[in-house]
Amino acid sequence: MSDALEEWAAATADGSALGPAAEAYERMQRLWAVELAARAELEER
Amino acid sequence: MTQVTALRWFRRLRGVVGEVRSAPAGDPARIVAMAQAYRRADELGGAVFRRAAAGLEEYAAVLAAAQAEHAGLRAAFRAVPPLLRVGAVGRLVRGCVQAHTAASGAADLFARRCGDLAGRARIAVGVEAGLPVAEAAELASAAARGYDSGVLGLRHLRLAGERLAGSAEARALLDRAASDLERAWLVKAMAAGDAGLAEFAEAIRGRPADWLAERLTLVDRHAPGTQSRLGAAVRQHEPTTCGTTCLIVARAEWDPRYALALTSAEFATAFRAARAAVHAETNRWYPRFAGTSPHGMARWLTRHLGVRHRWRAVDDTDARDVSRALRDVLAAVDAGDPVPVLVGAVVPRHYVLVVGHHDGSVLVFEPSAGRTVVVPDRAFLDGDLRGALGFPHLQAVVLPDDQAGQPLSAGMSADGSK
Repeated sequence: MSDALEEWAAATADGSALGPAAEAYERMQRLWAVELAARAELEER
Repeated sequence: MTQVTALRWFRRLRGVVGEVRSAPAGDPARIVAMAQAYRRADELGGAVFRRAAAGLEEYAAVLAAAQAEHAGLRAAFRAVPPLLRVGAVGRLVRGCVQAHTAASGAADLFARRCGDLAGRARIAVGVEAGLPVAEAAELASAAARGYDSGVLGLRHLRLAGERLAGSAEARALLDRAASDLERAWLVKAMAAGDAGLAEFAEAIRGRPADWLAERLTLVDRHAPGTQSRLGAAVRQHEPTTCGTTCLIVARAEWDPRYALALTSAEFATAFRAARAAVHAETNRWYPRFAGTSPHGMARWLTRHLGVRHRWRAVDDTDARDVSRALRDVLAAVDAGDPVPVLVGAVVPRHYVLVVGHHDGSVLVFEPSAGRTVVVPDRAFLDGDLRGALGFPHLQAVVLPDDQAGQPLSAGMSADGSK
């Protein structure tokens, strides 16, 4: 995982500030962390 | 009945008291800081991150205003002399409930956006299900355009990972496929079940893309338009089969073998026979002249789509209930599951099938006209669906029980009972 991706993931993973939208947000954030890591891996090949 | 009504009022009263005592939940300052983190990482996530940041900022603004309004109302109430407070209670309660309604609506709107964005992280779903990255990327992008996120829904992608991991036979079938698109259709069929897989693979081998699209689904989901297959309209041809038609289309979206069984015969005849069979199957006790009960819809989908479905009435006089229902419908649609919804005016009247979602627009299959139409999500919230769907209000929804898409547990029977 690149530094930029790690920094973004750390700053955005905790959705507790979002009240009732936290669950939907955290699912989206987690999937995009996996998605971006997968795309980066594909680009490296 | 009286006890049920009393209990409902008690719960409502308790909810109102809670909304007067507590401000809407959330921390607008931290939400803004999260939005800035998305903007700083623009080169990573591009348009998706910009939409996430904009959604966070809009949510934070509404939440901050609602919390300020709530605090102002409570401060104003405390400033009223105790003997005069009785007259001020009404204003306090109304204002606090409105502040919570605004914050709740903003949370639902943001959750719908998150669902839309999560639905685009399609490689991630395949990777989490155990597929190699390259294969997940190939399957995730097959035939995606417009409202159509591709051949495979997220539930298909999840199940495909499990089924491919343990089956050399399934791998061998995929290896014989003539194109990436053909592989995607095969994987979709595998996710829906094992029966007749080799025959299905044989039937679609070497077929061109337009043949596959015409025969392996019953509606085109990429854009609005009139729906037909092999020259025959895909619509309800009887006054009471709107629900039946939605069920048939939903099953065809889940399992391409079902679609192929209809389209490989003379389609108009096969479709007519399917409507008769499904209508009979869903209405053993319910009077057929009244259409299909929501319970019958949910039971049929549970039996044929491999995931438990439930129906839920929507109180169309309660803005928050409509907002919650729309949020849940779109979360399911973003995961690739079409969702039947019941619309009406004074009473429920007509089923339509929600099949796509992109930004603030919803793609709906309207069976009486046999076409897909684009409806702004605002029209659901405002009870303004008459122009697009014939009736103004959302009144019930039929949802997959587990939007994460887990198959039925071992202890659960096909009709959803334990």
